[in-house]
Amino acid sequence: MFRSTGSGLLVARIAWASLLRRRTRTVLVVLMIAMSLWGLLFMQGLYEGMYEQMIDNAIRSGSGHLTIYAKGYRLEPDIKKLITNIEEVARFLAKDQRVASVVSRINQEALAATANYSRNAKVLGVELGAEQKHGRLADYLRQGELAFGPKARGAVVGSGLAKKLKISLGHKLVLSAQATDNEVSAIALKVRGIIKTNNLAIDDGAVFIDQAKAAEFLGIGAGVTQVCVILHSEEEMVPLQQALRQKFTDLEVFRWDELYPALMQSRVMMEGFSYVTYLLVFAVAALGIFGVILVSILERIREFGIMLAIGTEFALIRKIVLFESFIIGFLGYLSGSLLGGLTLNYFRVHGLDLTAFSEGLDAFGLDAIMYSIIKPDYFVTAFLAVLLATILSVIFPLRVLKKARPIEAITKL
Amino acid sequence: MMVAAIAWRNIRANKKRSIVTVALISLTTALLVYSSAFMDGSHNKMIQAAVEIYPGYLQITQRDFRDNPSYDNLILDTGALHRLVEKTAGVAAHGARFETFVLYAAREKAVGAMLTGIEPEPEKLLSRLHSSLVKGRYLTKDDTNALYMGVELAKRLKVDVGDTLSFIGNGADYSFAADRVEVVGLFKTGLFDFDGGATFLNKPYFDQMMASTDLATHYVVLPRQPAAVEELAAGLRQQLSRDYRAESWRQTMGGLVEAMEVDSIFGYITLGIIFIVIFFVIMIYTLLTVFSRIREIGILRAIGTTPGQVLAMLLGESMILSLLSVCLGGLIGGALAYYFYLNPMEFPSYEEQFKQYGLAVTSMPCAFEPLTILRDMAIMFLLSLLSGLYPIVKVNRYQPVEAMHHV
Amino acid sequence: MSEFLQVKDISKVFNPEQEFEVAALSGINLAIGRGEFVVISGPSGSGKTTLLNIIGGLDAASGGAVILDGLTLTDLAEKELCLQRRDHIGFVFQAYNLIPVLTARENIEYVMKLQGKSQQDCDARVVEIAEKLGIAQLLNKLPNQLSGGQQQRVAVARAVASKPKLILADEPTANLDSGTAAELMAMMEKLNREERITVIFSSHDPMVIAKARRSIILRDGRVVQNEITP
Repeated sequence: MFRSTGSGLLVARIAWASLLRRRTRTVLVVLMIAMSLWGLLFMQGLYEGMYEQMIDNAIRSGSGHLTIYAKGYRLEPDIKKLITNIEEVARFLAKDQRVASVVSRINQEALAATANYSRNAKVLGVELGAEQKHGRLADYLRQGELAFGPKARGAVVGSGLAKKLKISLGHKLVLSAQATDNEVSAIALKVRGIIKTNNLAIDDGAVFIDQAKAAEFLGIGAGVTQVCVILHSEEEMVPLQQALRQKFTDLEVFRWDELYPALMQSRVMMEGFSYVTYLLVFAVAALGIFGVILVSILERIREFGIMLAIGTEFALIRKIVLFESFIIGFLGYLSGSLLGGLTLNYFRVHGLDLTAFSEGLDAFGLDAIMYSIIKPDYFVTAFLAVLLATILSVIFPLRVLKKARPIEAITKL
Repeated sequence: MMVAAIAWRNIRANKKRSIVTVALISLTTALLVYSSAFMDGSHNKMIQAAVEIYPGYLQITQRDFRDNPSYDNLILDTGALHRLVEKTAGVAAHGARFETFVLYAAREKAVGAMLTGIEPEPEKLLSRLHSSLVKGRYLTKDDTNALYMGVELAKRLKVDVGDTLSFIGNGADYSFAADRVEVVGLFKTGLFDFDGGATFLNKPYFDQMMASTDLATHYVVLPRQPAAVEELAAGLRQQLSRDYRAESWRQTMGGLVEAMEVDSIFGYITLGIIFIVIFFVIMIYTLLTVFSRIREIGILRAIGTTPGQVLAMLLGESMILSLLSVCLGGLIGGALAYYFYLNPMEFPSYEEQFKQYGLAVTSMPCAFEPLTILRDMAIMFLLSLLSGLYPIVKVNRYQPVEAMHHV
Repeated sequence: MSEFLQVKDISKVFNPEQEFEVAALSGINLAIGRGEFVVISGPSGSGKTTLLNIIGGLDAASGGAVILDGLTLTDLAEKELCLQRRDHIGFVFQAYNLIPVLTARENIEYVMKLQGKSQQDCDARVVEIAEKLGIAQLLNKLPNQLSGGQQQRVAVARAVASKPKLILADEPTANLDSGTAAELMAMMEKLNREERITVIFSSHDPMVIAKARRSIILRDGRVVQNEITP
């Protein structure tokens, strides 16, 4: 017990002293690890934040975690394919602890026209109160108010659509759409609010109107076309989907990643891309650590030879070398994580303002101000990467040391 | 001279350092050259596809049309515009378009869509409408109520070639317009929104329906040299009356251009992170080799080599290595870029994703621009020189005796 | 007669104003004439190397002055010193210290090249000096292909090739066997005579010391003996 702590302390002291003696390179290696880690953490947090934002926008304004349609609606949307047992579905979901909120919608393709111009649009018959709780729509409001006004004659319009139609608050808008009787029905509405969700499907086409008004306009007696469910945790998505499928065999239940395959694909691609970058950076960093360890061992062959000659075990020398590289790795990890964590936290709170590129970001459905995220597992990944790089870069130098027979080195020259 | 000889021989003597440095810098250079070639190439391709499918390289519109695309801001005399553009040098093709939105009804479906009157002959060159034909036929200049429709829209309306359908819309004089038309051809450009929402009629017939004779929303011009589009736009601007504006795709597709810039920025951020670590590794290796030779440097100084000469020697070594690596890397990266310029990479599995962003491409070529490659090589050359600078300057600060006895 | 080399009140303190302040040299005064063959001896740590380094302008003194042929070296900036070393002082080190990547010939002509001499001049001088030192056969070899004694002869050739006024040799024979050492000393003496070069070397080998015509002994950083040997 005593022996091991005693030698442990000795190892630490020798390792530390030798790092201090070669201060410049120690500092450079620590800096190298810290800077690469900083960059990687920044990239990871920002990119992931970006995708989380896109997915969050899509979930809140569009599909929810789960979307329920009547059978066949998804492949061929038709307002005659309605979820008529909406009460039963609502009761079932209300009882479930995993469910955070539920909204129902009536969707229909429409033509939105002003006196001068017309565009394709999508009518969304919604209950504003529920939607507000569900997707915090107020956060997305750019102009006006989130209300349909007296007699529900108002509409809330997606920003892209508003821009194309050149309409702003108070303007009149005529919606024409096919009703359940196949006749084209029309309704005049006043623009009361404009929202921008960065979910392109909503921004470029959505006209939110009161659900009862939509039912009347489209000749729907009872039922809705879509029910969106937001859960407390994304992990509950699959089990609940299965439960719903079993319970309601006449309905179809989709997860958001099934409805937005491109979003999911982007996320997977981005993650793969991050890992490749990580791998590349740490492979290069390992090369840097390796060079320093190797040279510092070669320089100290005589020193180690003397230690061996006076009865030190080789294991102790190995411990010293390992300890040195771990100190370097740990210092680099610590400062890189600190720097990266602080940077990410800054951008998590204040966001990265890219309004200068807002038009370009719009094309990708990205918010102009990007907020990074921080996950504890970033730091775990980073730690493992540093550890791995350190271990890999010390193996070969240790073999070189053993082969060099340090004892013989002292007898030469 | 002697100093140069020492520099060169040291490069050969310190093989490990030289190999690591050359390998690192040349691979990084190759990575940079290839990445920027790929980014530029794929962005150009996406923009090119987006421009050529329909909007065209150069558009003439009424002064206020882009800000307020209403019937109040139309091109009023396409005939005069036609004559003016016709005699302008550097124009390959030109034609008028009248875009409007109508509601189509077929059997039990009603769908809103864009209906555009086009001049079929010049339009063959102005856009990819003609080459995107998948079923039936393209339009002719004598067509009457023949409709050319996107495949996705046909699916939504459940119509096929030979079927008839009716539309309602507004004429140029705000009058109510309605007609029955027959689908004669279907096109697929790959641009989902476009294929799902665009239809075309022969303009002379369209004009009768819409009361739009001699009127247009857009006048599209194809330059003989796509690269010279800005000059052509500037030339046209001078000749056109102040009621019109001529804009290249850089203005009309500003959002897409910016989107590609954003994509490049993210790409360069990632590359930057890789560069940081490589910068440090080169610095560390330079430090290690320079300091392993510190005794020798002390001797050089002791026997009368000036600090400036030592600096020149070490910098010279660094320069030779960097130059060598950068040339090698440029060659590798350039060769890769050239290969993928000739044989574009295919991304069939990402078609969905590209579609979502309105990009109608699945294969992405690299750009092959010798100037860009040289630029990237110059950047890497400076970067690698810079990364060796600190150790070199530091070692030169030592007094000869300190250097000779440095441990 | 004004002396060729004057060392005036030279002192050297290591780690000044620190806990472990070490006075390596204190109050050294020497005057050495042109063409002398001088040995500095003394026990390890007596300051021989430090004194040679300060005379040669490799190390800065803490106080005092070194005047070589009328020029006060201790007043010069590093760049100037460097040129003085190049043109007027030759060094021979205990560990040979040849430039590893250059051949024997290139090592010898190195300083002349720095001085900007033509290749013909260099060639002529290299041949002349190589013959004097018996290394004509070794000129195209790299230092690591030479034995210790051969390397040291090349080092001596390098030091004298540019015809300096002064050669400083720090323990030049310490790594050589006694036979080789004697040969090397004989050569240095010959050069001293034939080329009229002043030589100052340090040693603690009595056989080597005996060759010198003036013997200076240092002890604890002070001169304890300075006399012309008979």
